[in-house]
Amino acid sequence: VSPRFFVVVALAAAVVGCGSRPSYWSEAPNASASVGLNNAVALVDDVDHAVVLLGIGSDLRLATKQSIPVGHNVVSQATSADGFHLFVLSRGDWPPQPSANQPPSLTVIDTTAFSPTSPAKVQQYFLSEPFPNLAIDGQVTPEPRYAVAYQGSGSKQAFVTNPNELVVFDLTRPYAPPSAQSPNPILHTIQSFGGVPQALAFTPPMRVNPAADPRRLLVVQTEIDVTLFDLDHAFDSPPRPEVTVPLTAGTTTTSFTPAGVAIDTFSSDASDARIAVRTTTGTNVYTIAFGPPNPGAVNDFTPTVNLTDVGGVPSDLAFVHTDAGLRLAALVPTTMSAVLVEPDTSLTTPVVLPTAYSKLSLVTQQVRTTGAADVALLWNGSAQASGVALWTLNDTVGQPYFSVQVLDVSAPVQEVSNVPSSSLKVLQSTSAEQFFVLNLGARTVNPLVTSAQATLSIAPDGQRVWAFAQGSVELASISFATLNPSPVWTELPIGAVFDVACADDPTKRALVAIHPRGTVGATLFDAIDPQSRPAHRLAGLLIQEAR
Amino acid sequence: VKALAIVGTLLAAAGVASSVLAQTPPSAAERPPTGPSAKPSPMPDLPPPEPPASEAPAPVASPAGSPAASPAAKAPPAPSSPAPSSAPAATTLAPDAQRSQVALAGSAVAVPDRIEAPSPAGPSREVVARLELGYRGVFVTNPGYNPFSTQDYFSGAYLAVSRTVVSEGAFSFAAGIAWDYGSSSATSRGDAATLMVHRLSVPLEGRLHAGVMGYAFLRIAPGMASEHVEVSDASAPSGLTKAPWLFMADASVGYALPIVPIPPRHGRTFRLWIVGDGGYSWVADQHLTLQSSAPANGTPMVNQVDLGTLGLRGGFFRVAVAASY
Repeated sequence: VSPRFFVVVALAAAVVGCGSRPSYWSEAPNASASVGLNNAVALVDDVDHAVVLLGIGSDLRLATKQSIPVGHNVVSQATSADGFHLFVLSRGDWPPQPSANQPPSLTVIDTTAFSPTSPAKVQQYFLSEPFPNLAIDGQVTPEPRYAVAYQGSGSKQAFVTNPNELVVFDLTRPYAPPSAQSPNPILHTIQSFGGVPQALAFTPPMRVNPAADPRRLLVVQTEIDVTLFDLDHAFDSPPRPEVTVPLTAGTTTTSFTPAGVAIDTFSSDASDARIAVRTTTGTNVYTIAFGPPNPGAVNDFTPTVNLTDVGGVPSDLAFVHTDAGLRLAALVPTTMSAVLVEPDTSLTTPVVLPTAYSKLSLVTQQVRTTGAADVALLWNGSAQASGVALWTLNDTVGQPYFSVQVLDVSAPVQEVSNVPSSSLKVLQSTSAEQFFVLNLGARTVNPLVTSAQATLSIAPDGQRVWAFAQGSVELASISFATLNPSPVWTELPIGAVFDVACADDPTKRALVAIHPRGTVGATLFDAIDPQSRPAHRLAGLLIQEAR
Repeated sequence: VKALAIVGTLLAAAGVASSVLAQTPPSAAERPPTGPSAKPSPMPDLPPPEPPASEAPAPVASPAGSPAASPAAKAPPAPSSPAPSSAPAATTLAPDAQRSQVALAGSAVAVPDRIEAPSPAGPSREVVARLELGYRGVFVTNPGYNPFSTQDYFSGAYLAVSRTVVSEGAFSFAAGIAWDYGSSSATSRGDAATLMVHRLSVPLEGRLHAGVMGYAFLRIAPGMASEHVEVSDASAPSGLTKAPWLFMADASVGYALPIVPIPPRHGRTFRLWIVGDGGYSWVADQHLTLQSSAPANGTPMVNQVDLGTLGLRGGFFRVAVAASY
């Protein structure tokens, strides 16, 4: 036997023995995000290109775990307003390589029926090029209908991009390639007068024409104008053209950049369908109403625009019902006032405020007023102890000075969080060590003091709020019924907490405290009464079966 | 490719043996005995065989390390043997017969060091014990092995003791007990993952002897294996472990080549061997559902980390050095 023979044999053995393993094992997991859904916790593992869904049992154990492949290089993830859908936008392998050429995609995970016996439903849509931004339809009846990806101001991935291109997904239909008779998603380039889409908003169904069905519109804000795109006819072939509203002062050609949009959601009355726009530097507010189409127009509505000077740069807008009818309320911090605008005539009524509030939200349902007028919550004031104010709009026009009630808070309120199914609001102040529970019914504000900067997580059932400090091992449940803090501890630092319905019994709830260490662990508590049962731990959540 | 490697390993073992034989002259211990110094060795642990009534005792026994006696060979009592004088027996062979006969194997791998006169009622038996120490490599392509190694290869050490229990002509049979130990570790998903394997087996070996050239053998080794798996993850209260006992078996063919004769001492003849074999190794599948034991006052971990199924099986080769006496 020649020596060459032994060399060949040795090389053959070496080839067999040196087979490499999948790259999955060679890279540490990257839990790029943890997301709380109504009935599950989702861990986004971009290294494994997967979302791991965790369903917690009522016995505080892992009831079900589902690994769902998603596109490579996750750009962003978002949940629907109902908390049952997770959207994961991926850049794909861009530019494509021979060994990795997955196209950009949007993965939609529906956990409505997620349980130990029923996996989550998954729908994946592919794109021709990567898009860095995603806007999700806020309407969830019966489920989210639309999503739109756009370039916006995100980083450019391709050599050539069209910044005015929109990718519109119909989430009720599966993916269909562009070559299909009815493709989904569709690509649409909005007409440009020099602007690029910066932010998108979805309207609820609006009766834009008495003779037409209610319509969903996409409001596209660029740097210089606002574009209205008919979503319900976006999948027509060809789609109906969009309508662009330039934002100028009327007397000059100077353009203004939109800063916010208010949409009239009160009724389906055709005369009530309106959209209002404020700008970053202009003192005008733009009110867009809808009328019958012009002869020969493709769209079945015609927008009309009114400009109203409110005396200063508005910081927030909302359509409100007053004792005098529909008004557009604009907060003008520079004049420490609010201005009520009659949308048809542009007549204004100023309301002097005790301080320069810059944020406004309607809380009519929570304060349970008997009249038809709205109540607005004003916050983010400039004064040190400005707190919040309740602005009752039934005496607004006649006695505006009588309509504002200030609720003192020891620090300016920076953020107001809604408590579902409740007349409560959680106020986060600029102070690092306290937050407040606002009772709109009793019009009281209760402070809660923390020993460190607290991160808050409100339970979706509206019964409690969880407070913890990032990286600490202590957290507390505060029942909204008693405001009694119930402290609990974990053995590992906490990165996030989620109060979720149990996968096997939706009437029970579990608190999942995520520990972003190793392959990610968690500590489980009984969310309703965290001290009633011992906690349990989960470990190695991002380790999957051998592959 | 795996099959190629297995076949290659076997051929390599056979090739090494044949090459060495072709270049190495027979040692003195392997030559036929000459002169009066050649004496039978004591065999205290075997009952003395009864010579056939019609045969005269032969004055010379085969030297240690010489080819085995044929069952038909005549075996006169050896004067210097400590065996009972009532029925001492040793086999004397003509030189040609010695070369042509196959030695009794001593253990998992052996040639006869001591020969006992055959019993007319049964096969001849040999007093050969054997100690074997070697290296063993397995080519594991099962996905369950991926967390523990960056390559599809599992190596370990091999230690065995054995003894020839039956011989018949050119064939013999040996049994013993063997212990394997091997481990592999790798960083998997950022965690340290370790696999340690202890295997206790009973090698059962059939041999075909080729005189001074050693012998080829077929080996079956059933047994039990302990696969201790541990993953150190920072999210767990302690190491994630599992350590079951599993059925296992090896099947292999190989060749044993005598290399170093050592002069007899105290009536015993020692010999060193090079042994090579290759075949297929099988261990029952283990579902790797790892658990962690919580500290006494800690929060219990309630989930199992599922790494899938580990099947530690594949073609293997083994090279060893053995000593027999």
